[in-house]
Amino acid sequence: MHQFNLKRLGQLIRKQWVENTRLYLYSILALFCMLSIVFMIWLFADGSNYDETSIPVMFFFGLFISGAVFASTAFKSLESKNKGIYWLSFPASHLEKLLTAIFYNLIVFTVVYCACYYVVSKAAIAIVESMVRKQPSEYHFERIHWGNEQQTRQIFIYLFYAFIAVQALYLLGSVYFKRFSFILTTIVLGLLFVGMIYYFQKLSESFPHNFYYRDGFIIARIPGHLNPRRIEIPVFLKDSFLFLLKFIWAPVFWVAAWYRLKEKEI
Amino acid sequence: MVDIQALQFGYKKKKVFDGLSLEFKPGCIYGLLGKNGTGKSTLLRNIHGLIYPDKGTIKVLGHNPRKRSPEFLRDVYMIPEEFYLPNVPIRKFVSCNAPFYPKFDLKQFETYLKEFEIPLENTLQQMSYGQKKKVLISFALACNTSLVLMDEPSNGLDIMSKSQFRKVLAAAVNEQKCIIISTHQVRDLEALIDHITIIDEGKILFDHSLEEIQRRLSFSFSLERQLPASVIYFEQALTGNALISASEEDDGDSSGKIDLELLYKAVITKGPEIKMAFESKHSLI
Repeated sequence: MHQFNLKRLGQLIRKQWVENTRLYLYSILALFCMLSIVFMIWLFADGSNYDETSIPVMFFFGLFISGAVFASTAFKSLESKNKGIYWLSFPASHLEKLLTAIFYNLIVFTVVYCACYYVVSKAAIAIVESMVRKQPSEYHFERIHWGNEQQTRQIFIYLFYAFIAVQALYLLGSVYFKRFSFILTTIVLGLLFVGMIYYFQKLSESFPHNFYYRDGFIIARIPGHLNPRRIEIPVFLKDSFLFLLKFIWAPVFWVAAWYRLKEKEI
Repeated sequence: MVDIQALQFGYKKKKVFDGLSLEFKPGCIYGLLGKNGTGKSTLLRNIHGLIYPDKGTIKVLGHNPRKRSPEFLRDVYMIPEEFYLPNVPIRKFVSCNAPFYPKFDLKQFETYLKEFEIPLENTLQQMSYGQKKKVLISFALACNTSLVLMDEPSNGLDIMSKSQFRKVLAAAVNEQKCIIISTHQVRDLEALIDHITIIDEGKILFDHSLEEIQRRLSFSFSLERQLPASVIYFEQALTGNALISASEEDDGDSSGKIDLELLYKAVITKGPEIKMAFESKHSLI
C-alpha cells in the first residue's frame, strides 16, 4: 500500500516533466533531426529507384537504437552524488520512481518516436512521389508488398516485444552501471545473445542424430520407416515456453531494476 | 527521534564507524562537529537512508531509513553540502515538490525567502550557489519535516546571509522538530545550537547540551600570565589567554559565553580532561 499510490505517481510524472521539459523538448528535436538526416540519406543514396521496404526496416532499426540510448539515461541522475541525493531522498517509493522511468522511456518515447517517424517518412514519401510524378521515366518508387499480412503483423508484434525487452534491459543497465551504462549494457546484450545461440545450439546437438525440431514438432526419422514420425510437444508446454520467451524478459529486467534501486547507495 | 545503536559502517578500505551509539531528541538543534573525513556527512547519509550500515541499527521516527519509504522520506529533509536543484522557476519548483510534503507551508516559505531577500519570481538557473542554497534552506524548513539534516549549511553564504540564516533557523525550530547540523564553521551557529556532538575517528568524543556545558565548564579571558590550576585548555591571543576551566560550582551559573571553537579544540586536544570535568561534580585536573 505504501509502495504504490496512484496520485503520488501522477505527481511524480508531472514533476519529472516540469523539471525536464527543456531536455525532453530538445530530445524530440534531436530525434526529429536524426530521422530527417536518415531519410535524406535514403533519398540521396537510393539513386532513382526507391523501395518502400526500407521504411519499416529503418523504423525498427531507429526505434531499437534510439530507444536503447534514451533508456540508458533513465537513471542518469544516480551517476552524480548531488542529483542522486535529490532523486533518492524524494518522498516517493522505488516502485513509483521506476514506473515513472518506464512511463517516459517506454510509453512516451515510443509515442514520440512513432509520431516523428510518421511525419518524416510521410514527408520523404511525398517527395519521392512528387519526383516520380514529375519524371516518371527517371524515378521509380517500389511500393511495399506485405505478402502474408498476418505473418507480417506477427513479425511486427514480435519485434515490438523484443523492443520492450531491450528497453527494459537498458533501463536496468542505467541503474546497474554507474558509468558508461549504454556501452556496458550493449556488451551484456551481446553476451546474452551469444549465450542464447550457444545454448540452443547445444540443445539441438543434444538430440539424437535422427531427431530434429520443426514448427513445434520433434521429427524422428526411425530406420526402416519410410515416413518420419512426428512427436508433438504438449500444447501447454509449448505455449508456456512461447509465453515466457515473449513476455518474461521485460518484467524480469524491471524487477531487477527495482531491486537495484532499493539497494542503491549514494 | 533518531536512535543509533552499535552502528558499524565503512567504505571499501576505510572503517568509518565501529559501534557508534547516539541519540537525537526532538526540540533541539544539534551541532555535529569533527575534522574533515571523520564521518559527519556519512552519519547524516546513514540517518537519511542514502547509505546503509554494515551492522547495527538506525531508527528514525520509528522507521528504518534503509527502506526509504515515502512515509519516512516526507518527514525528513536533508540539505547536503553539494546539492542539486533543477533549472526551473522557484514557483514551479515549489508547485511540483511541495505536494510530496504534507506539512509544507507556502506562507512560511515566502517569509523565509523574503528574509533571504530572494524574489519568488526568480529562476533557479539564474541564481548563484549561495542564493540556491537559501532557496533550498527555505524550502526545507517550510516543509516542516520532523527531522532536518544540514551538511555545512553556512558554506557559500556571505556574512549577511549567515545572519539571515540564523534568524530563519531560529524561527523554524519548535518542540517537535529536530535539526542536526554538521559544520566546521561553529562560530556561524554558536547562538543557535543547543547540543554539541563531536565525532572523531568514527567515535563520539563529546555529546553534551549547551546547558550542561555551561554548568560544567567556564569560559573566560585572562590578561594574567600565570594561569589558574583549574584551566583545562587555553589559547594565546594578542592581549592575553582565552581559557576553559572546570566550573567549581554545579549551580548552573554560567560564567562567560561558550566559545564553541575553543571548546572543540579543547575536546580534540584535551579530551580526557574535558571528559573528567563532566564526570565529576567538582571537577579537578
